[in-house]
Amino acid sequence: MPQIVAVGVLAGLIAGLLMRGRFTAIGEAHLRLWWLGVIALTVQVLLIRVAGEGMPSWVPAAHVASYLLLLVVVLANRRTFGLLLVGLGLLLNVAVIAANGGLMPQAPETARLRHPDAVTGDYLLNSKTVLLPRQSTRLWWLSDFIVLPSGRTLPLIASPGDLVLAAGLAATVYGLTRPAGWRSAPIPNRGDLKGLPS
Amino acid sequence: MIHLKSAYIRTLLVLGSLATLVVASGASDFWN
Repeated sequence: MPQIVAVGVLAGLIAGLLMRGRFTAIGEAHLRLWWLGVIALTVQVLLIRVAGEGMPSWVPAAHVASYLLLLVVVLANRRTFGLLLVGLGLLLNVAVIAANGGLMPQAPETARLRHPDAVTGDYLLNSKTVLLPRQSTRLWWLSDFIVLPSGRTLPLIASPGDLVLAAGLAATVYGLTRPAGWRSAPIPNRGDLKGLPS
Repeated sequence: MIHLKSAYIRTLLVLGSLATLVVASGASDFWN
């Protein structure tokens, strides 16, 4: 499991349980259109498998398009506590991806921390990453430039959007452990508003 | 017991859906 996901889930679970939430309350959530996320991930995995080392020109465009599916999932569940933060992380990542031709840019010197033979201009095999020098990367401050210790031999490389995603995941998991009434405020009926001062 | 198991399974399915959403949205350590 990716560490970003593991940290988000664990942080949300620990916070939720400390606040007397319930683990199985998460299963009571009804995430709308969740299957679109599965389709988007499947499409992305297939795209990078198809791309190989050649990277046909339509692959980056299709990659960006897959983010539209994810955006639909976030918008469909926007009233779920924490998911808008996930949406912000998604937007930060897709902004830098779209600005740099459809793949996540990473500086070669950063990539070499994990891939010693990384060459500028190359695509990392089986990844959504293109190696671009920082000076020619648009919105480089949203790219994969954050290097974190991972507790393993190789460091963890992440983008600011990834960190927001982890925080959003933690917030979402925390919110889902809470009682159902806490998760989102009900929209009042028009009739309920009668008699209130205008 | 069966009810408890299905509650855990539903919980894992929701967590799996959220994890899928986050991995597809970025999570560079999955892709690098």
